[in-house]
Amino acid sequence: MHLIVVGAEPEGWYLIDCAMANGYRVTLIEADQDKARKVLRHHDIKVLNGTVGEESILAEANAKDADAIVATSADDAVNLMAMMLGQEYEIATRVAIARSSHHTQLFEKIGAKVITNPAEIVAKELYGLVDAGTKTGSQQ
Amino acid sequence: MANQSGADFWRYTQTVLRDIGLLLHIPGLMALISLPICWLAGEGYATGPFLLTALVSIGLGQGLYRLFKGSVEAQLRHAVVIVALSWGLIPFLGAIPLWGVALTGLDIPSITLDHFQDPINALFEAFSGFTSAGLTMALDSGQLPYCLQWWRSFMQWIGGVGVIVLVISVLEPSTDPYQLYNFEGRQRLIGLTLRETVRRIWWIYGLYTIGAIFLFRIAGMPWWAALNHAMSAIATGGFAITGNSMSAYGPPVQIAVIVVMILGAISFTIHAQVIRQRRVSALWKDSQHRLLWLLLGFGGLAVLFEKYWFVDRLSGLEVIFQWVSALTTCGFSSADIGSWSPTNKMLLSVAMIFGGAAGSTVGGLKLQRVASLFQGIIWRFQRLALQPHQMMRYELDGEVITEAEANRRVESAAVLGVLWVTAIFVGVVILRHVEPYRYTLADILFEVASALGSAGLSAGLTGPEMPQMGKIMLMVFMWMGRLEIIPVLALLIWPLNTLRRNVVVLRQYIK
Repeated sequence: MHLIVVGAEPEGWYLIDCAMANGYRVTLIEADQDKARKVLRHHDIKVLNGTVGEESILAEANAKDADAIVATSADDAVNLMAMMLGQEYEIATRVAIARSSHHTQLFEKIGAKVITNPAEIVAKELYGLVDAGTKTGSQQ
Repeated sequence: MANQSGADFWRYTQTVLRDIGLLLHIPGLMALISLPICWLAGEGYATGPFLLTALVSIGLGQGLYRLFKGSVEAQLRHAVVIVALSWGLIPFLGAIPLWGVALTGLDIPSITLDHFQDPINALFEAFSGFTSAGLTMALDSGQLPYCLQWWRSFMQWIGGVGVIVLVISVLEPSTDPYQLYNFEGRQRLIGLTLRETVRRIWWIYGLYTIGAIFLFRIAGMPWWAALNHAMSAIATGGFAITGNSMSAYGPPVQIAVIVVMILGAISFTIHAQVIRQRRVSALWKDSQHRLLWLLLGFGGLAVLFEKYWFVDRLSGLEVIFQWVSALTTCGFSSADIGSWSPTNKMLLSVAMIFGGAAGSTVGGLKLQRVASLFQGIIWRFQRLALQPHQMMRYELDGEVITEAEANRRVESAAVLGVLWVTAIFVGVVILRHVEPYRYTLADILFEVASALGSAGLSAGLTGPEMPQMGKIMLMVFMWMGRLEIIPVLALLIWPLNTLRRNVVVLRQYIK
């Protein structure tokens, strides 16, 4: 099963780990050379250095026979472009991170599954723990 | 301006001379250690030559050392010249026992010994000894007095572990040891500090030597032969005391020798890992050792096949022995290689040029460089298959390296490879002119490769009857090859450089 990951951010890192552990073949597209090289050091996967919108890059990534494309970059514009191109190449599963909640609807409109602002989600979880902790603390 | 560069040059020379002085003690100390053996063997007439050796070495050494004691600490630019010169001078001292005993032992009816009255022959033997090459001027080494048999093996035993490593273990506080150490081609420090590394190398070396002595004894060699051959084998030297090398022994001994030769071709780093960490898998984990096993196996098959095709008779052990001896650059022989097919001589020549693992006692280009070159070829083809945006992953020995590092490795291996090929070419041209035409080009190539690779197998050219020019050329090649060519070239370029600087200064005056 072939997965294309766009953007070597922390979420992308763990995703690659996960996917490879489950037997996926992963291709990474990352514009920053150093970030790309770091991933290359840890995984023997195909790494393409360039922006997802660049002319032939998705063709090089063999997008035609990809089963899924995940956009985890830091820039919503890039993520959005990745989803649109994914649609063009008729990739079945398209998933993205939206860094800002303002953009969530855009992703949904083009049929991509989206997780909005992971930082906020984690922060809320953390707050929940803090809240629970301070409440039981004050009861004692 | 001229004064400044003159003063610099003098300061540089002082450091070089001081450290050479230090290294010159080595043959002297060796000679002193050898005296009891002369006496035990009842060869009192050898006392004179050995004492002379000790006197000259230690005298010269002390003289140079004390004269230039206060000079600057040696750095890399000194180290190159120090190593090259020392290793060119030490054999002169090592030749004294051979030459001296040949002169004082006049009542011994031995043509072999008589040939060593010719100082060139004695010098050749000493070069072959200290570079652990193994080409010999001795017609029948079995006819040599015990002290000389010992001296030859001892030279190789010391030469194998590298004169430089010796120096560091002899404690010289003012020389920066790492510089000298590095030029010997030892790879990756084994211990935490340099001294620790050297101590461990000595331990492993000593352990394996003793093990080899017992192994050979069990296989059937008498004690004296076992001692000498063990020292020679673990140093991948090749001097024997039988007169016809390992042809004198049967299959059990030959197999034992094959084992020790292979052990001598494995790097000290790996030996340390196997012994101290019980990690036997280290023997095939890195690229150069994997290449070693690959070459031993497939190369062995190739020569076997070639021999069968040529003579139509399967002579397994004989062929394998020669192949292992060539690849490990040891030099023991169990067959008359002169009668082999040209193709086999070429295959063996390639093996002698390749050598064994870097960081062991072998000569040759060393497999780490050969592996780098092969890896470079593979990477080249992988790069062709890359897509425009695809990044290349360079993996070597289990770790991922940057493109810059990968290129550097391939480049340094390639440069040395070209130097070797050039040297061989030059050597073949010279030797072809010097040698009679009964020797074919394959023989010439073989002998040159054997000398440069410090291997020691001979296609029949090497011997006291060889033209003097040929002997001198092979001596230079043994010297060059052991030092991996670059230090010797640096030594030759060094006076040219200072000359050039002086010419520039002169030109300024003339204008």
